[in-house]
Amino acid sequence: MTTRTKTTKVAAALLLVTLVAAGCVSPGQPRPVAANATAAVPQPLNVQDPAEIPSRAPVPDCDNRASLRPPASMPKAGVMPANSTMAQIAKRGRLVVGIDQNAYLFGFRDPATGELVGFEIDFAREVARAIFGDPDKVQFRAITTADRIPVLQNKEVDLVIRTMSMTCERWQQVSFSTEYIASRQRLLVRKADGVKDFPDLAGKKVCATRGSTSIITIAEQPSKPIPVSTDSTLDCLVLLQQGQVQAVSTIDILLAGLAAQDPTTVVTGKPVSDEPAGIGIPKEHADMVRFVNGVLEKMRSDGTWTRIYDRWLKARLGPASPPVPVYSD
Amino acid sequence: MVTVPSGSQGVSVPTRLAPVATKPAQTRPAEVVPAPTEPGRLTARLRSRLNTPRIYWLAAAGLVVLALATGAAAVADVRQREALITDVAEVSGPISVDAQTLYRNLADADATAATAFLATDGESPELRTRYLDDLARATAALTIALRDADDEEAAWLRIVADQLPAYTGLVETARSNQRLGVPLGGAYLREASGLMQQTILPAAAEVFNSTHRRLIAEQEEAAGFPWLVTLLVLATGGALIAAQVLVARRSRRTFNLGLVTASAVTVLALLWSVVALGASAGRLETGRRDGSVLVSLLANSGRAALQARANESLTLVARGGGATFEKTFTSRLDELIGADGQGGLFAQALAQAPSSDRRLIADARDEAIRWRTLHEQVRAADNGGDWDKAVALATQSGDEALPAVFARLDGGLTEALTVGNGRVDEQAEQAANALRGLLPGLVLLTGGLVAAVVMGFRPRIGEYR
Repeated sequence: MTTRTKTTKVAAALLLVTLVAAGCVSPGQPRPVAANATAAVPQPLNVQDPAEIPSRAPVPDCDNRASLRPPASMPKAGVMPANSTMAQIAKRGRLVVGIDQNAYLFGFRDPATGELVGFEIDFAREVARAIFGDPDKVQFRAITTADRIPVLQNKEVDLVIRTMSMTCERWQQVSFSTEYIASRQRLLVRKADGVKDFPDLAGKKVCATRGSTSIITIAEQPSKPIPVSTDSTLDCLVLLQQGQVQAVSTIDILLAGLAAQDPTTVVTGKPVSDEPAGIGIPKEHADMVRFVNGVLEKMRSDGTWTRIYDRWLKARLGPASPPVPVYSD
Repeated sequence: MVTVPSGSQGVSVPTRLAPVATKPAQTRPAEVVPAPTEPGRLTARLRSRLNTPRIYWLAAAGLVVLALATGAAAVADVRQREALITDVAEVSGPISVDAQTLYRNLADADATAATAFLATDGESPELRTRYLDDLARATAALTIALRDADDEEAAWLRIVADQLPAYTGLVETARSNQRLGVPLGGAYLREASGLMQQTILPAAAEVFNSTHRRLIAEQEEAAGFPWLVTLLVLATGGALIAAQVLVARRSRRTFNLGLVTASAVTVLALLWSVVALGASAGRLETGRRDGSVLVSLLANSGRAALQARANESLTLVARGGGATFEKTFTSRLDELIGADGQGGLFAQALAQAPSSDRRLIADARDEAIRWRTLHEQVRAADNGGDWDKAVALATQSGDEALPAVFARLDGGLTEALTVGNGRVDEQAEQAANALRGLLPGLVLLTGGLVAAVVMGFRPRIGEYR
C-alpha cells in the first residue's frame, strides 16, 4: 500500500514536472507585428562606416608646387621640335588625355550633346590647340582615381588632367605642370542643417572617398567626426541626400561640382588643407612638362584661364585669378 | 464471418491427424515434473490446446490480419503518393515557378534599368515598358509565392518585399538626375543595382532554391521504393504458401480452392501495384531529371546572363570607374559558359537535358559565346577612351549587334525553361494517371484476399465440429 502511494506520488510529480517543462519550453512564437517593421535604408556599394583610416605616408620633403620652366620660345602649333615628345604626339595625330567623366563642371557629358565638357576638358583642348592648332585632336580616356599614376607610368596617356593634387610623394613617380587650379579641403553640407564648420560635426558622420588623404584629414579633426568612406565622391552626395551622413569633405573644387547637382547643399567651412592641382605628365617627358607650362603661362596671360574658370566655376566658387606659377629652375 | 470455436471442451480430436496433435500431450508429463515455472506451464497448456482446428483457426486469423495489414499499408502508401503527386502538380510545382518568375524578373528589371540608362538620346519606351512589366510580374509572383511559402521562405520573401520599393525609388531618383544631365544619376543607379544584386536577388535565390528542393524532394519521395509494403506482400505471400502446405499435410488435399484464390489475388495485386507504381515512379523521375533539375540549371543560367548584362551596362554607366562591374561581368559569364565557352551552367544543362531540348540550349550557348566576343569589342573601345563608340556597340540595333545577340540568348533560355516547367507538370499528371484506379483496386483485392482465406479455412475448421 505504501509502495503504491509512493509510486502514485512519483508519477504525479513527474507528470507535473513534464507539464511545467512543456509549458516553459514552448511558449509559442509571437506572431510578427506588422506595425514594428522599419524602413530599409539602402547604401551605395562598398561603404565603410566608420572608414578605415590609411596611415599618412611619411612625406618626402619638397616644394610641391615647383615645376620646370617653360622654353624660352614656344614652338608654333603644327611645328614641334624634332625628336620631342610633342613631335611624337603630333605624328600620332591626337593627344591622349586621362580625364574624369563623372566630375560635374570638371569633366562630364553635356546631356544636350553627349559631348565631354568641363573645366579640365577645356584645358586638355588648349594643349591640343598648342600642338596641332586644333582643339579637337584629343582622345579622352576616362580613368579612375587609382589609375592616374599607373597610366602615366605605363605611358598609356600623354597627360592626366583629373583634379590630381601635386604631392611630394607623387612627384617621385610622375611629373606635374605648374598649378592650374588651387584646391583646399572643405565641407559640403545641407543648407537646412546650419552646419558651418568642422566643430559643428562632433560625433557626426562625414564622408570622403576610400583611401584618400581627405579621409585622413577628417579623422584628424579635433571635433572628432566619424569618417565614412565610399568608392566615389558622388556616392558621398548620395549618402548626404539620403541623410546617412551629415557632410561630405574633400577638395572644394569637387565639392562645387557636387553642390551644382543639388541646390539644397552648400560648400562651407575653413580650408583644412592646401592641395594644388597640376597636370600629370610621365616623369621621362621633361620636354612635355616645359611645353605644357608654356601653354599654361600663355593661358594665364591672355585671359584664356579666366574665361574658362568663369564659364565653369565662377558661379560656384566665386571669382578667382590664376594661381601664380612656381618654377624649380 | 469466421466461425470461431467458443472453447476447447467441445472439440473432438479426429484420429487421422493424431500424430501431430498428440505430440504435445506426450511431452507434457516431462515438463510438469520439475516444479513448473509460470511460463513453462503456459507453454505446456498452449501445446495441449494446439490441435488441428485451433491451428487452422490461428492460421486463418493470422492470414486475415496480415492481409488486412498489407492492404492497409498499400492503400496508405498509394494515398500518400497520390497526395505528393497532387502537391507536386498543385503546390510545390507552381510555387517553384513563382519563385523562378520572381527571380528572373527581378534580374531582368535590373539589367533593363541599367541598359535603359545608356541611351544618350532619351529613354527608350520599349525598355521602360519592359522594366515596368518585370516589376509587375515580380510583385505578382511575390504575393502569390507568399501564400504557399514555408516559414523560412516567407522570411526571405519578406526581404524582397521590404527592399523592392527602396530599389524602385532609387531607380526613379537615378532617372530624374539622368534627365537633368548630372552624373549623380549614375551613382543612384549603381546604388540601386548594388541593392538588387547584393540583397534582393540573393534573397530571391534562396526562395527559389528552397522551393526547388521541396519540389525535387516530393518528386523523389513519390517515386520512392515501397519497402514496408513490399515486405508485407512478401510476408503475405509466404504465409499463404505456408498455410497451403499446412492444410495440404493435415487434410491430405493438395489444393485448397480458397487459398489458391487468395494467392492469385495477391499476385494480381502485386502485379498491378508493380506496374502502376513503376510507371508512376518512372514519370516522376523523368519530371525530376528532365524537368526540375534542368529547370534549376536553366533558371540559374538565366540569372547569370541577366546579371552579366546588368554589369556590362554598369561598366559604361560608371564612365571609367567600372572595373569592379567588369570583374563581375567576367565571373558571371564564366559561371554561364566557362572560361573556354564549353563549361559552366550551360554545359551542365546540356548534359542534363533530354536530346529534344539540346538544340535550343546549344543555340543559346552559342549566342553567349558570341556575346563574349562583342563584349570584348565594347571593352576595347571603352578602355581605349572611346566611350561613345563603346555605348554605340552596346546599344546598336541590328541582327548581329550585342542587344540582339543577348536577346536571342535570353529568349532561348526562357523557351527552354518553359519546356522544362511544362515537363514537371506533364509528368506529374501522367504519374497521377498511372496510379488511377489502384486505390479502389487495392481495397477490393484486399477484401477478396480476406474472403478467399476465410472461404479456404471455413470448411476445414467446420470438419472438426
